[in-house]
Amino acid sequence: MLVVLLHVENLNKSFSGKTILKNLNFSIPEGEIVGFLGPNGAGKTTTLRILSGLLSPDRGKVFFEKKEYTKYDHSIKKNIGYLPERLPLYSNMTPLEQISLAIKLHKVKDVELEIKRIIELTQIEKVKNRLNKFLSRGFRQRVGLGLALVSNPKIVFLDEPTTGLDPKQIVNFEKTIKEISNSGTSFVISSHRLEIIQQLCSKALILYAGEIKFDSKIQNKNLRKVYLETTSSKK
Amino acid sequence: METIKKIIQKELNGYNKGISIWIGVAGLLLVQGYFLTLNLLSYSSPFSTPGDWNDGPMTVLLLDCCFLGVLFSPFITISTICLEKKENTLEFLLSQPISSSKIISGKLIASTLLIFSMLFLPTIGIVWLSKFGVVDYGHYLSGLIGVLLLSFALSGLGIFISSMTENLTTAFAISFPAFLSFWFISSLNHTNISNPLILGISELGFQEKLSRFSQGILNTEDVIYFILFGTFWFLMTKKTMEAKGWK
Repeated sequence: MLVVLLHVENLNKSFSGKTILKNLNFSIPEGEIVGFLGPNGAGKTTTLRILSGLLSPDRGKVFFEKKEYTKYDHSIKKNIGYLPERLPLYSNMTPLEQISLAIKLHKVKDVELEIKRIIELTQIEKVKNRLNKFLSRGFRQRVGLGLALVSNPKIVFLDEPTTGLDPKQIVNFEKTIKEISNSGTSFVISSHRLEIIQQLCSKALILYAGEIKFDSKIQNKNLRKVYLETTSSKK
Repeated sequence: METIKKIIQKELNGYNKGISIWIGVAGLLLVQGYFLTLNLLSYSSPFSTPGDWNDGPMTVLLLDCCFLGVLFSPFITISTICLEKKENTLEFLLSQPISSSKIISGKLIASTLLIFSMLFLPTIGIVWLSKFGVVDYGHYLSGLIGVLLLSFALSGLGIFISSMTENLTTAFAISFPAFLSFWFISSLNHTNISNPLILGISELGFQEKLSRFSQGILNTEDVIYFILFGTFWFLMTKKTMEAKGWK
């Protein structure tokens, strides 16, 4: 039986009077990789930012392991990793320095061991002492993923994680996500690349005009067809 | 407290890596050295008695320090939040298990320490010159307290301005005149204007209060004013961040 890790109830968000999210309701099961799809401006990033604790919703509730965290204490963020589309890397820091900072802010006890784990997991050993601004897009992406994985979160939100990656880097990325997921971590991946979602995810959510239009398992389904049907309907 | 300490370290390391901060320190030392020399030359015998020395060059130097702080601080404060927003690294900080209040506190303390250190360095010359006369260290300490409080006040206002925009030029264009205004509005007190509102506004100025610190007068009201000033802008920054939906 699937255990619900994160549950969203009637989530609403507006910016400057414009409604972005309308009564979102969905759940993320433990240990699953969930695809989060939708056209540009559908509200995917806003949803991920709310779920990762960066934004407050106007209305609605988010439950993490049955505990509401709409007005939560910030320690819940220890269980949540977030990789935004625009990589949040300090240009004047090295991957080692920034990962180390994240580990210390998470108050992980054995800092050295955690650094070693993240570096091995993301395979950035050879660039760990190079300034972030001199890294290739592929390595920057890995560092960003490493930051999201600090302190072994139970759920990780990835916003367009394959943007700018070449096919080989995408294959490596998919492999890494699958490996981490096997250890019980849930992922929510927002992407425009349907083939990646089809390949990686067991479930997909399709957000269209601020509403969840599709929430189901995608095995044995033609995701492209489902996506086109869902997003071509009238708003 | 531990997380605030990490933010302070991050901020100070960030400044330390940039060459601009060292250029700023060198510039301040040069300008202050020049002012100190002019000061000493304008007194025929500054070291003759302790009174001459402490009421003359030291008072002027401490007040000069404060004015230079007003001129130089925007270069430090503008990047505190503005640059983080521009580079999207604020998302990194906000996604950590730490509240926005702690992030702002860390930035405020780091900025205060940095501005104070930059302004404090040129005053060491006074202590070095003590071999030629008697230095009133109480007077000197009072001036330094003024410099520290000013650093806190400017950091508070600067961080607030920095939180309002992603554009460094805009942040500077607002910070520079804002800082200068708070310096010069004290002068309204010395005009013939008797409008109570204008006189009330002039009470918000830094200059009068800092000139008392630099004269060795430690006034509790002045201390409270600067603490409240910095705290007010800290709370405004927090409100700004919350208004943008950040937690």
